[in-house]
Amino acid sequence: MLFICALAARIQSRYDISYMSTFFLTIMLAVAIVVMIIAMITMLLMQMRSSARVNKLTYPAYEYVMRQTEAKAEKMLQKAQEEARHIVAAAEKTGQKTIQEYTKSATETHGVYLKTVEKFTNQLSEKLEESSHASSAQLEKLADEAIASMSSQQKVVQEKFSSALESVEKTSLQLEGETTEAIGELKRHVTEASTRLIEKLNAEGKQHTQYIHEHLEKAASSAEEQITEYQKARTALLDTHIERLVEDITARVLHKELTLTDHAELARAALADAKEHNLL
Amino acid sequence: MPAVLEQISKNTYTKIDLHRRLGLLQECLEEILYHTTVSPEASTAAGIAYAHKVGAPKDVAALSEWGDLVWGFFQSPTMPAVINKLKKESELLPSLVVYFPVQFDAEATKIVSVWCREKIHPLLLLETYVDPSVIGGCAFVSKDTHHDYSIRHAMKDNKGVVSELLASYV
Repeated sequence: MLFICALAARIQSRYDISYMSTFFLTIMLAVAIVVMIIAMITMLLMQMRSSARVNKLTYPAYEYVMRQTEAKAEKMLQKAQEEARHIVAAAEKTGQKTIQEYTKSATETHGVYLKTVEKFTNQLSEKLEESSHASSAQLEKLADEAIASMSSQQKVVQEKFSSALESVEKTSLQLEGETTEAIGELKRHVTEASTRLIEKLNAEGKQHTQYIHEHLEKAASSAEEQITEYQKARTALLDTHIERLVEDITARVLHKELTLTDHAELARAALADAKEHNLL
Repeated sequence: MPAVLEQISKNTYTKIDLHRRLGLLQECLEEILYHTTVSPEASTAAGIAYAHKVGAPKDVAALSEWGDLVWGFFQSPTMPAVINKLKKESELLPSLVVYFPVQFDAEATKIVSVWCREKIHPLLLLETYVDPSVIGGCAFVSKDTHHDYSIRHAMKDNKGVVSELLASYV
C-alpha cells in the first residue's frame, strides 16, 4: 500500500496531474493493480485448461511412437544376439583349434620326456646290476666264513651240551637219593609234630574245660548272690511300702479316732519323755 | 509390770494369742481413755463392753478374766508408752516351738501349756504349728535343734519289726 502511495505521488509529480488528488490516484492505481492480477489469474487458468486439452489430444500419438521405438529396440536386440552367437561360435572354433595344437605339442613333449626317463632308468639299472654283482660276491664270501665259524661253534656246543647232560644225569641220580631221604625225615618230623600238637590240644582242652567249669561255678555263685541281693532289695522295698502303708493307716486312724484331748495328752507325754532325756 | 504379764499369762498360752489380745486391749483402752468420759471405777466394765463389740468371744473372755489388775494399770497420759513397753517385755518371754499333728483348740493347748509351765518355765509361751506327718505326739525345737517325739519317729525306730514279722510268716 505504501508502495502504491509512493508510486502515485511520483506519477503526480512527473506528469503534472495535480488536478487529481493523491488519494484518488492511489485508489486508481490500486484498482488497476487488482484488475491486472485478476486478468493474470484468468490467463493462467485458461493456459492450464488448454494444455490439458492438448495433452488429451496428443496422447495416442505418443503411445504409437512408444510402440515403434520398442519394436525397433527389439529388432536391434535380436540382431545383436545373432551377432553375439556368431562371435561365440567363431571363438569356440578358434579355441578348439588352439586346444588341439596345444595337445599335440604336449603329447610330443611327453613322449620326449618318457624317452629320456627310460634312458635314465636303463642306465641306473645297468649300474645297479654291476654293483649288485660285486656285493653278492662279497656276501658269498662272508656267508661261507660265517657257516664255517658256525659249524665249528656248533661242534663245541654239542660237546659242551653232552658233557652237561652227563653231569645233569649224575646230579639227578644224586638228588633222587637225597629226596627220598628228605621225604623220610619230613614224614618223621610231621608225625612227631602232629603227636605233639595232639598232646598240646588235649592238655589245653582239659584246661579249657576246667576253666569253663570254674567260670560256670563262679557265675552260678554270683547269680545266687545277685538273686539273694535282689530278694533283699525287693523285701526292703516291700518293707518300706508296708511301713508307709502302716504309717498312713495309723495317721488316718489316729487323726480320726483320737480326740483333741487325747492328742494333747500324747503331746504332753512326748514332752515329758523329752524332759526325762534332758532335752527341755 | 511383771504382775500384769503374769496375770495376762494365766489364760494366754500361745504367742499369737498374746499379740492379738494385747492389740485388742490397746484398742479398748484408747476408746475408754480418749473417746469417752468414763470414771476409773467403771473403766474395766466399759473396756470389756467395747471389747465385745470389736473382739472375738474367746479373746473377750480372756480380757474379762484379767480384771482390774490389768485394766486399772493403764492411765490416760502414759497408756501408749506403757502398752508398748508391755509388748516389748512380752517378746522377751520364754517360748517353745511345737509341731502338733492337728490344730489344737484352747483346751488341748492349755493341757500342754500347763504342763510346760509346771515343768519348764512359769511364763512359757507356745509357738504352735500343724504337721500332719507327726501322726501322734509332737515334735519341738529346743536350743535351735529339732526333736521328733512323734509316733512317726517311734515307727521309724522300730522299722525292722514289721519285716521281721513278715519274714517269720514267709
